[in-house]
Amino acid sequence: MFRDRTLARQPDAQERELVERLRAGDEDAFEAFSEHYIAGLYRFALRRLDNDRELTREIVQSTVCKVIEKLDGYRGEAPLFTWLCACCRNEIAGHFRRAGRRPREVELTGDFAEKRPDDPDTTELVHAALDRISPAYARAMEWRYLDGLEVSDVAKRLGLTYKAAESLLSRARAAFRAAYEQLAETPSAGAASKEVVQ
Amino acid sequence: MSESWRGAPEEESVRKMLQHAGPRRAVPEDDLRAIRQTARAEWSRRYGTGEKRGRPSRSWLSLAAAVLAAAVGIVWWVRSRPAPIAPTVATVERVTGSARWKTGAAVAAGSELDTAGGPPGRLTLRMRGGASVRLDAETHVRLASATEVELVHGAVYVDTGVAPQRAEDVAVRAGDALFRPAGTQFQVRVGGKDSKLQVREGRVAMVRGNGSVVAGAGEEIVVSDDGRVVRRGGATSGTDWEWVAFTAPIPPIEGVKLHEFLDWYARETGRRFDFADSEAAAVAGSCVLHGSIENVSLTDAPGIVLSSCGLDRRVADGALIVLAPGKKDRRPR
Repeated sequence: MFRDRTLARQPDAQERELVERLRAGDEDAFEAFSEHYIAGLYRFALRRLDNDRELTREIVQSTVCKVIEKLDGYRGEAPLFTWLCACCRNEIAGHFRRAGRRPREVELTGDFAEKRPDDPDTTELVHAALDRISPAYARAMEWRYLDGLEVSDVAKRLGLTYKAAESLLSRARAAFRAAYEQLAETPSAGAASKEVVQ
Repeated sequence: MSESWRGAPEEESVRKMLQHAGPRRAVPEDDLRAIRQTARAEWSRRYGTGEKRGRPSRSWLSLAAAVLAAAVGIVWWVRSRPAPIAPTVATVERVTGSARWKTGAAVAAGSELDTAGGPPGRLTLRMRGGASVRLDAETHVRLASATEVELVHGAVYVDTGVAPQRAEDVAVRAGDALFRPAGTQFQVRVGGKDSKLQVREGRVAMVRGNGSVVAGAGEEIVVSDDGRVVRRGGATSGTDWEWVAFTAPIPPIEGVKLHEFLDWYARETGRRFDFADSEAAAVAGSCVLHGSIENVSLTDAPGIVLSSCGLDRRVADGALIVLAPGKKDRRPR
């Protein structure tokens, strides 16, 4: 459950506030950051590192340390998780560069490129979309649609009114849909749509 | 009118997609712990209380270089030391019938607790996130973290309390099944060839592989060793739940309203309570308790507390009926 109510509000404002509190040395903010972002980042890296746990742990540790080092530069222009993922991609690319391995270029959507929205095997795509959206949105959606909680129970857990929880779930679905469609979209075969993942 | 997506109302599409995909892959607890520890060290170094921030001066850089050199030596020394002590994830809140544990003792992540063997006993733990986790006699568990208990055999009960003081959820893993609660009171029992989940309040999702089954209050899920899963109606009090009552931590009652005490009793026993008439309800609404029931069993507590308020009680159809003095329960049966 959300120990930090900041994360139950609007994601952009909440993330800016979270980062400000992290910079101010707020212990609760660190706990919230750690609880809501690290697992998603780990899954993001694991998918790109052939499920190599040891390497994933190393890359994520290094990513998080660099992100903390650069917190002063975060202006909230991109969602925090997107920023974390961008840093993680750089760490992965750097790792293979240092290891002297020739990187393999894949489509921007990487491991999801071949999975169309109508493909029944969309598990990874759905999970990646959940990891991309605000952790508060993802958690609320899982409570409602996976665990089967009533809206009133989601509201209680978030300390919101029924209407506010309904509204949050609606925004969560919209965010999920946007993230899912972005991930599922197969980009045209252009150099601009490539990224190094291995 | 609701928006459509992927050929169905948006909400329905999202529900189906999430259910089809199942829960996200769990991150190994030891990996998470290692990443968090590293992140915390870096965060504390840069933003910890009392530390000055800003661009370091040249003299500070020299000092940092010296410190770094010393740190290399320390790291080499530390790496040759035993692993650091695992974080505390729970404390022992109540021990029933066994002298093997002490109330107030800290329990570290990864600890195994076994109430089988030695003197028989039951154990009540308070998890770091506030949930009450109770172990029946003949139970063996491993506390994987502050939010996950691995049940090897026996029975575990979890209570996360009610809003606004609701505690962090604690999941129970039994074999290849993960029981993920959503604000609840539930117990999982592993014995013989079956695992059984019983839900008293809230909801619990049983997740196996990519599938999940949800049980609500008054339902139970039985998983047979051949993989068969049955969901059916179940009791929220009675024989299966009796052991839970023995492990209930008895709260202080000084200054507590009688109504609050009755609410607590009802949650701990899974029983309803009701008033025989408006007079009994009025007394309960105005009565404030004094004293302590610390050494009283949950079974005896309502009798002692109600009589101190000049009230009586009887049990009918599993419910506790509160009576005004000298009155009979005249409610229709």
